[in-house]
Amino acid sequence: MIRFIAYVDPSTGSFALQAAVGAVMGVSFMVRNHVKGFISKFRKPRPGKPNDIE
Amino acid sequence: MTLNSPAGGRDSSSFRDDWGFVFWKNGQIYRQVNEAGGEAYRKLMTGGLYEALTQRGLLVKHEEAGEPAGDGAVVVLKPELLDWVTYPYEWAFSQLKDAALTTLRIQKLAMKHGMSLRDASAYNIQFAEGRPVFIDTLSFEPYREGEPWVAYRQFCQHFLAPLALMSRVDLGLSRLLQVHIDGIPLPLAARLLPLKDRLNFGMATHISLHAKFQRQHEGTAEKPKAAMNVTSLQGLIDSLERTVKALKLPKTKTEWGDYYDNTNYSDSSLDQKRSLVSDFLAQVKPKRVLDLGANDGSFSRIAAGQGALVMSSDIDPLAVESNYLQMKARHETKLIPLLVDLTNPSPALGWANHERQSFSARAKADAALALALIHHLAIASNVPLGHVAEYFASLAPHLVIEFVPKSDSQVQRLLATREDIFPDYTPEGFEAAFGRYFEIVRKQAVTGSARMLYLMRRKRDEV
Repeated sequence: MIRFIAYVDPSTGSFALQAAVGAVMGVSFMVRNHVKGFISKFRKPRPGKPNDIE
Repeated sequence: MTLNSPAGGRDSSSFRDDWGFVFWKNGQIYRQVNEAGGEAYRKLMTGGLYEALTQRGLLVKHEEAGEPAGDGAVVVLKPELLDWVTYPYEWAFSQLKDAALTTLRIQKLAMKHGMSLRDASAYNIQFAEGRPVFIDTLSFEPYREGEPWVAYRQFCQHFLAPLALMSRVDLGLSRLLQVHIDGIPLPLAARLLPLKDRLNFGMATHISLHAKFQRQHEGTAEKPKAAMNVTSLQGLIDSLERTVKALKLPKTKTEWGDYYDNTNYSDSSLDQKRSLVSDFLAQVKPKRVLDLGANDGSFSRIAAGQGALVMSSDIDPLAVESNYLQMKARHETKLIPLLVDLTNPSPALGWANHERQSFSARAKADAALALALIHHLAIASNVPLGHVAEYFASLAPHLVIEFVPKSDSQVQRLLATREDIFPDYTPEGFEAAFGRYFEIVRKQAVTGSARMLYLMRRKRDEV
């Protein structure tokens, strides 16, 4: 069961906004990741440069 | 995790969470985990997240400390002590930005380990060894598929709204965090931001639209119909991260932002002043130093170079920003840059005025530096020399202070447009006022100027 409560007031408005825009952000995130992955195939590795993707 | 309020008993800032609380015993801080938080705590420890976070220096380390202390306790933790506590309204723009990005990085790592942050308070971040670190071990809960991020509103109020206002309106608006202890209300932030920010997807969504949704759903308990799957949640965190990263410091010039480019010191005088400050500090060997009016931290670094931990404070947000950015670039670990107006330092705030301590209660050190500061307090702000001496004596037993006489061009500038109502502002008047609280250990003129540098020791009966 999905909880909509928290010990700090999360506000129903915040939940509603997440429900409204979550799908768009999810798709945008996936597309960005695919594009990043695609570009990285053609990039030369830079020694000493940390990978910023956790 | 702090050296504050070590007198014993429950920490005055720890009362909102039913999963546990922080308490003091014999000068050591402990965190009690209650039954309600036991399952989440075990998952944090056994699921690999604690290790992942502490290895990266993102979460304060702890050890489990023997027997539980009270009713309902599952375990008692003994966290590593932090040296100084600072609050978000005392941070420069980039400090708050780094704290925000650290919180999001922690949330991303938590999600990889099947957990999620259940709050995103800026007060959960402290600066230690030159970097932001998360201090609330009980902020993690198991992630449940479909649930929205319960800390989303708090993140936007504590981090995104103040950063946006500092970046797009005025750097000084970080002080709004002092008025709104649970973050800047989003409807207020939305009203204050320029209209053009409504064209920016991140700002429009996380602040303006967020505020609108809050207004629309105010007072209702209606549950949203759609669930947040894990990709949507990752997308939300990614969008917040990109929005925060895109916020830059506005191109503004503040009064003291380029102080060291405009001093009336020659290079040799400045070198001699540095050498004197270094000698004075070496004589005292302080472990903790409070640099008052530190500007970009040039002299704080002399103390840090001698091994002291330095709280490097200044009234100017750009100077503190510059100090922090230098500290980051050089990987310095002994400085804590801080935005403090000494004529109005951070007060005690929150519930019963006990939740957040005042600057004066936290700023205890072995030595204080007050270089090129006295004229700003005594002349620009009309604070009598005796008041300054008394306050400085309350902060540290040793004081390195520079007296800037009326003949100095910086003082002349202050007096150019106002009546000179400071007959006691003389070397003799200065020594008499400070002599009530301190004895003068050393005194030396800064060559090439009329300024005088003093090393003082607090008198025993004036502690």
